Amino acid sequence: MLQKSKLRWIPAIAVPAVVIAGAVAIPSMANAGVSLPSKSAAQIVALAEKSVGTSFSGTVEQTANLGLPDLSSFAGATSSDDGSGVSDIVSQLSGTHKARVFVDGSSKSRVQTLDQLAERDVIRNGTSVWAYDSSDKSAVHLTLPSRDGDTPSAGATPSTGAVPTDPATAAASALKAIGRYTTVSTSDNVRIAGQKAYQVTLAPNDSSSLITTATLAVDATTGVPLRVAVTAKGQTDPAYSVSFTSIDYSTPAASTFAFTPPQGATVKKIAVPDRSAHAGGTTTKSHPGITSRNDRIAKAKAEAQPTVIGTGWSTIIGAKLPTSAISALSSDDTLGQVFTPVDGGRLLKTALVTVLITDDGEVYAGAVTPSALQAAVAAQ
Amino acid sequence: MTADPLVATTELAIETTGLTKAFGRQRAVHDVDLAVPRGSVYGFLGPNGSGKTSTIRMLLGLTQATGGQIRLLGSRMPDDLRSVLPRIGALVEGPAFAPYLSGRANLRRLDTADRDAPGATRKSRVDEALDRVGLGHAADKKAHAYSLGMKQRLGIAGALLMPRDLLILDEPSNGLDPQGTREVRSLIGSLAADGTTVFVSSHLLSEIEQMCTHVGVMSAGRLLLQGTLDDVRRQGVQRVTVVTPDAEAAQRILATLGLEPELLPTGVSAALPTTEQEPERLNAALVAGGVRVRGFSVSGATLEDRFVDLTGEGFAVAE
Amino acid sequence: MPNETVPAGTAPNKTASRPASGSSLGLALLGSEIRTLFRRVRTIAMLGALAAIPILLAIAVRVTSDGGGGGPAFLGDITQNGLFVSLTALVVAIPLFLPLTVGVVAGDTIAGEAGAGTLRYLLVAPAGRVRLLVVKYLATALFCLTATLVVVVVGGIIGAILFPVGPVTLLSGQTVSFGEYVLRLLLLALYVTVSLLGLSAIGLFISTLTSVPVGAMAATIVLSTVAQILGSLPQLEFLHPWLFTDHWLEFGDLLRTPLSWESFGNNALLQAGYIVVFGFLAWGRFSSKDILS
Repeated sequence: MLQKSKLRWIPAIAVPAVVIAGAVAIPSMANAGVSLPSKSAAQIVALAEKSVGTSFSGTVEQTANLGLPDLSSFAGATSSDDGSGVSDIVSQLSGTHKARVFVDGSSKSRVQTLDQLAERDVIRNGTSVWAYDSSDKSAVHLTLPSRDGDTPSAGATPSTGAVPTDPATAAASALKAIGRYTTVSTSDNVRIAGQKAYQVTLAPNDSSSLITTATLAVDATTGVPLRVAVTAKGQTDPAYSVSFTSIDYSTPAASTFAFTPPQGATVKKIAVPDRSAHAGGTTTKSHPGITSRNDRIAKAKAEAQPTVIGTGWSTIIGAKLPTSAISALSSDDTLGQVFTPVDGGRLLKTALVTVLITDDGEVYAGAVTPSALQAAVAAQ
Repeated sequence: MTADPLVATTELAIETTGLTKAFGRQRAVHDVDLAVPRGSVYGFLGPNGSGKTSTIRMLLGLTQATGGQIRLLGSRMPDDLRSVLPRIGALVEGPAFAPYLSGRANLRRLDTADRDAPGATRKSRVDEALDRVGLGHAADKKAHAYSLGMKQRLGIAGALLMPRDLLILDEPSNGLDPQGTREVRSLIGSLAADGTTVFVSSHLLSEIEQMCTHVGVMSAGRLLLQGTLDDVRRQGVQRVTVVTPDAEAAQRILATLGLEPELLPTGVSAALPTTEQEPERLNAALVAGGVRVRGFSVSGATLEDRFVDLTGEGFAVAE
Repeated sequence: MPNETVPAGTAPNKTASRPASGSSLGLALLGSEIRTLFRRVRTIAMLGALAAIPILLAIAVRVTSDGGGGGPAFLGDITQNGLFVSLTALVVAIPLFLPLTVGVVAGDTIAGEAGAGTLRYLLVAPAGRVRLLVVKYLATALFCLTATLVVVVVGGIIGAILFPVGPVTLLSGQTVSFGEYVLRLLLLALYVTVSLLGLSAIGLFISTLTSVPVGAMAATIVLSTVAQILGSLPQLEFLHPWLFTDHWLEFGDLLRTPLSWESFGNNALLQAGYIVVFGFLAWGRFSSKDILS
């Protein structure tokens, strides 16, 4: 009878063990043996380029592991402090963030950044672009000049600041970096969001770059970029990745792209969309993923004429900080923890980007090692 | 199962062989072979801590036996627990109730737990059980307001919700006043008269002696003896006592008959050998030998004597 | 059971009058368990305390008329629309108050019966050990639903009394009618209920380990707090998807357009995993346990 009572534990232990083992094993088995007809890197990139205009809806996850002290716990406390949007950016750049992306052709798109009990939306319907933030119920409306020949790629529209950027945008910027500075190769096929995908890996030739590889996964059938992962020097896990967790290639309902600001929302109309869209694009290009929810920052950066030092992967962008930003930086406690004082300024080192704020109010940033950045700035 | 020592006997309501329960290295119940005939009122006697409740827990499938086998009403326990237990009413280690429910609600709850109990007759059966233990008037009081005696009655009522073939009652008169004890005794008597087998444990000798037909004595986890009350009494050492002024003559005559008489101020007394079936023969011999026998008595050992003989201790030691 | 050969004077065959055994599925026991649980003063007091959350919240907002600046999500929306009281109250209740009450109920399931000694009588009845576990779990699940609904419904009522009520703006900026909002709120209550099922299973398992109900309750509540703390530590991010609290505050996904079922599905899957794992552990433990209390 004692035997029996012990036997009874077998299913009681076995079933939970199977459940746990299954839960652990199934995701890792998903990538095993994805067989696809082989394609060269160029063919894969071409496949990706062809995908512009594809309709889909999906969920995107952005994971950043930049080696910043995680400030997400402070973010709640500081986000109401409107004087500093910077800590918002910092919190956006750490941890995991989710977004839903809806794309209908090349003229309608919607990106919903899913925050806990809040949401930030960027909705483009033809030439009309709405940005809505549920936390403060603010809406921004932009009207794009209608230019038929220049249709921005699917996800590029929400450049006014939605984070995370959808993979199409990130892929586009990764592709543009291909050139003489880069070694391009293909790597193992993977399965992402249930789709078979090719992978292209870009590796900078410049050793001063903090980036070791940027990997782009492209849906084998539709060509839609499904994941961008950037690996930093000395790390095995991606320092930054944007990836679809689910994707559906049916055309989203038209109502998805219709937006009327709700009652009680503050609506702001922006008349000059050209420059801010351009400025957003520039930011995205130089540091994939570093985009701010706060368009004021983006605009501030656009207004200050940026300096460009170097080329390729080790390009450094410099700008004069507006005085309000300087005071915000010095008063912000959380940023005080992030920056380390160095000769002639304060330095922020992350896994992918190094930022230097000089004592005379200039900011330089690049995907290079701190010593390379300091040397380049000193040589200015 | 082929070497089953327990042939299904319908005569026995409870049958165990080699029943053993060990907690760690300590054996609470050691090699107990119970045989409770159907229709009997079986007194399960033993001091507190002698393993009575541990045995009852195993009988009812509440604990797993470390060794040995159990048959209740001819079926194996705990294998046939589901079919056997509905036929058994039990009171185990004192009554226990949800204190925030009324007595009636507590019984109803217990009744729903028995999947054989028909819901249609639940209300009437609950009321009947309450009346049977004399709690009809207090049925809607919350159980926490019950006295110990009332709780005990409610516990017995819980065992009587359905017609039972076997009642296992652990210390049923615990906490009852003398009147209550008498009532319980008469209740058990009437149940037994209906043909229900009653297995009642107690540490009180008098209680067992007054209501049982059979008795089993537990001590330190072992079943020392069991049988009908008369058998157990008879197995004890009886004494013959002779009141006579001719004590020495009597002593001599008895000694020739193989006894070992002792002199008393009023006569002689001797232990009666168990082989001696006819004590009156001794009297005839004494009279024939000219002893003036003024009194002759054979005293059967009381159950208490038996118990002291067996264990060297009295009851209620561990109170 | 051949009773015909019983000797004269012994037990007559009473089994013949019994209905076939196993005829009842245990619905009677479940009904009795639910009645017992919800009639208990402690349960009513806990539901009352949960009802007090939206009431206090609404009154506080009404008295101070200060919705802006910090506080839990949706607090600022209350003054414009009383229907948001339900949401704010849920946000407040989910991390602590709901797990607290669920921990009390789940921790009490088996340990409470064992502590009171009634467990042995239920088992001797016989309730059946597996059946008793299932019934206890279902009653706990019903408590989870009731507790959530109390917060939501009381929140809606008090909000409607103290504040203006109108069309509700969802997180995505869309405005929905009252009817659709009610539907979404019910979905949300279902989401929160499902969220609590994993914790209930854990509580049930812990409850089979002891006969001290307070211990089981405390352990369950502490676990829910520990899981939430672990969930807030970024250093343990690898662990987060495995915590039963991981999706607790993601009910906001039901307030978006188009409605996102992803969190609901993920949450349900995670909770189902917990139910299976801890349900089987509870079964293994309870079916082999010696009932000594």
